[in-house]
Amino acid sequence: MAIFRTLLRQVTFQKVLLGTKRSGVISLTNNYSLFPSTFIKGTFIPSEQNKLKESGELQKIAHIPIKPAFNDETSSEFYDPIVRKFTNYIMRKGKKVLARNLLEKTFENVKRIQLEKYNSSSFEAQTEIELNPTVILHQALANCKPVLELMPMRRGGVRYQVPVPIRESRSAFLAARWIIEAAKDKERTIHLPEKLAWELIEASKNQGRAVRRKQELHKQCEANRAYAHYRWS
Amino acid sequence: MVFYTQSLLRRITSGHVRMFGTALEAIKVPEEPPQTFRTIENNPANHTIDHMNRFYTIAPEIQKQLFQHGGLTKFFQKQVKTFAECSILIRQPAIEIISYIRQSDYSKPPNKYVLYGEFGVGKSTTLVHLIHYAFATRKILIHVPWAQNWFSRPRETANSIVHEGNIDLPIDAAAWLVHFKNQNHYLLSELDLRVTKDYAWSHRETTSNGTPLLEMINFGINRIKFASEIINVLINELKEASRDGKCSTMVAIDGYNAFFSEYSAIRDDNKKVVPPSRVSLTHAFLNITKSDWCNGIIVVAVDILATKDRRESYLPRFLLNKEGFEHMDPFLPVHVKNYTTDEFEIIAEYYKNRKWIRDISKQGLRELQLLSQNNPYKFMEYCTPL
Amino acid sequence: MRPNIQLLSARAPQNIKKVPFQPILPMALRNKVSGKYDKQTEGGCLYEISLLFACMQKNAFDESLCSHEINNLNVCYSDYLSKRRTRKADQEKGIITPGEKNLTHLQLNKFLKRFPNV
Repeated sequence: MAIFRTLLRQVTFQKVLLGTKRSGVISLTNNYSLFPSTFIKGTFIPSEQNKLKESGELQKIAHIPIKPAFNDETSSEFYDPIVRKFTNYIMRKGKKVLARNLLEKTFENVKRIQLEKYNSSSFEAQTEIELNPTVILHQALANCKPVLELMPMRRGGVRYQVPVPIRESRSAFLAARWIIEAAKDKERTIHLPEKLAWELIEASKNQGRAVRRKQELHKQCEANRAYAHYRWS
Repeated sequence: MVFYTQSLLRRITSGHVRMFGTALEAIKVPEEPPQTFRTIENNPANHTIDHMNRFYTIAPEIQKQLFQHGGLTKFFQKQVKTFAECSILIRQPAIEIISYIRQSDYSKPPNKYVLYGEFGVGKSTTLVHLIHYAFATRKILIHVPWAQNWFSRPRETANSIVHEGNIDLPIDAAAWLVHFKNQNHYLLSELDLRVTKDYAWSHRETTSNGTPLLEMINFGINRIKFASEIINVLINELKEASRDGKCSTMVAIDGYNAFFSEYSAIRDDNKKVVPPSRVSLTHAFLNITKSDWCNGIIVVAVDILATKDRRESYLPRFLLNKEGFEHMDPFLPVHVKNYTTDEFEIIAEYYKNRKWIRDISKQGLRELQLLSQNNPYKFMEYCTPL
Repeated sequence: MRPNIQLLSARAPQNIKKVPFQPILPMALRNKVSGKYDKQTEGGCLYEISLLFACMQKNAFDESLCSHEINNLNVCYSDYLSKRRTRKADQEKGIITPGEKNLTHLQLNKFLKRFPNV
C-alpha cells in the first residue's frame, strides 16, 4: 500500500513538473519584484536629481523605465534616510504609523530635554548643546556601531567564538537594534518615547547602555583574538 | 484698499514699538539680534491694534496665579516649560474683544462674546489673553478652564441636598473653588466683598450676613459636601455685588457648549445617565451667563471637542443648540481663524528664536505652511519632531 | 637429468587465457576533478585585526583613538569581499584569465570538457 502511495506521489510530482515546464513559470533566482529587471532605480532627492541634470546623465536615462519611489520616501527637505530606516527598525507587525509616531514623539522629547538644558546653561555652554534631534540620532548611531562581531564556528568538533569584521550595513543595523533594545528595557509605566529619547541623548554623548554593549562586544572579541584566523582558513 | 492703508498705518506705528523694544532688549542680552516679533508691552490693558501680530509675555507669577489649575491647553503648557516663558501672540479676535470691552456701557446687562472656530485655531489661547486682560484691569474672574471635564470625567457624584433630582460633583466643585480662590484672593480681600444674606448649610454650619466671601469659599473647600451649593451662592453674591457696583466681573468659560450637550458620563443611583442639565454646577454657570445683572463681561468659547454628540459643525448656533442659543441670545459671535500669512511668519520667527525649529529653509517653511493649512495647532504639531 | 626449472618454483605462472584481465575502473583518466581539496588559503585581514586589537588594548577600548586602524580594517574587508565576489562571478561564468596557473575545479572541469581525455 505504502509503495503504491509513493508511486502515486512520484507520478503526481512528475506531472506538476511537466506542467511547470510547459508554462515556463519556474525561475531559479528569487526575484519577487513587481518590476522587470530592465527597470532602473531612480532618485527622488532633489539635489541628486539636479546633479543628474547637470552631469547630463539625465539625457541618457531619459527613455529607460524607472522604478517608482517607496511611499515613505519624499523629496521634502525634512526627509532623512537614516530616520526612515530607524523607523522601520522600531516598527513591529507592520504598524508603520505607530512606529513613526513613536519616533516623532521621541524627537519631541529629545528636543525638550535639550532645550531645557540650553535655556538653563550659560551663553558659552549653549553653543555646545546639540538641539537638532536628527543630528543626535545620527551621532548616537555612529557611536554604537561595532567594528567586529563574534561568529560561532565549528572546528574539530568544538564551537569557537570567532571575531569577524562586519559590513557597514550590518554594523548600522546592530547599532540601531541595541539602542531600541536598551530603550525597551524599561518599566511598564514609562513610555517608549521617553526612554528612547534618553537613550539617544546618552548614546550621542558616548554613554549609555547601547554604547556599553558595543564596548563589551569589543572586549570579548579581543579575548577571543586567538581564534581570529579561523575566519580566513 | 482701506485694509491696505490700515495695515500700512499699523506697520508704521508698530515700527515705533519695535524700535523701542529693541533698545530695551539690547541691554539684557547684547548678542541677540533685534526681535521684531516681540512687544515689550506686557500689560494687556494697554494692548491696541498697534501691538497686533507681536508676542507679549505673561509674567511667571501671574501665570501661576491665573492658570495653575488649568486654562492653558496641554500642549501650550509643555511649550511654556520648554521655552522658559509664557508668550502669546496678540491676535485680532482678542484685540477686537478688548476694544469692545473698553467701549461698552457697564450700567447695561453684560455683553456676551462667543468665540468659535475650528479645532486648534486658538480659541482657548485668545481666552487666556482676555483673562489676563481682565486680571490686569482688576476684574473678578469666574473662569472655567474646560467645562466638559465635569461631565466626561466626574470624580465623585452625590445627590443634591437642596434641589431634588440634581446631582452634585463635590470634588470637582471644591477644585473649582480652589481655582477661583487662587485667581481672585488678592482682589477679594482688597475689595472686601461680604455675604449679604444668612445661609444655613446644616444645623451647626451657617454663614451669617457680613462674612467675607473668602471665608465662605474656604468653608466650601473644607466641606466639599456643600461646595456645589456654595458655588451657587457665590455666583449669586458676585452678581449682586457687581450690580451694586462693588466690583466688576468677567466670566470666561471654555467649552461652554458642554452645558447643553446630551452626553454625560455621570450616572445616578439607578445607573441612568444624568445629562448636564441636571448637574448643579451647570445651573450655577448658566445663572452667571444670564442677562439679569450688569457691570460684567461674559466671554465663552464653544468647541467641537466639548460635546460628543454634536460634532458636524463648529458654528455657535449648531454647537449651542436651540436651548443654548436662546440662553445666550443676544451675543456677539467672534470668529477665531487660522493664521494669516503675516501671523505665520511671526510664529515661525518666534519658534526660530526659541530654537524650536532651526536651519529651516524658506521652502521648508512653505511646506509646513501648506501642510498645516495655517492652523496653529497643526503647525505646532508638525514642528515638534524637527 | 636436470629437473625442469618450472617444476622447482613454488608456483607456476597463471595461464593468461585462463584468468583474463578485468579492469574495474576505466583505463583512462576522467574528464572531471573533484573540488574537495580546492579551498585555497585566502589572503584575509588578519594582520589588520591584530593591529586593531593592539590599538584597542592600548587605549582602553576607546575607538575614537583607533579610527585609523578601524578604517584600515574596513577598507581591507570591503576589498576582500569585493574581490571574492568578482572571483565567484568569474568562476560561475567560467572566465579564465590567460596564463592563470591556479585554476579552480570548476574552471578545470570546463577545460577538461572542452579537451576530453581519449
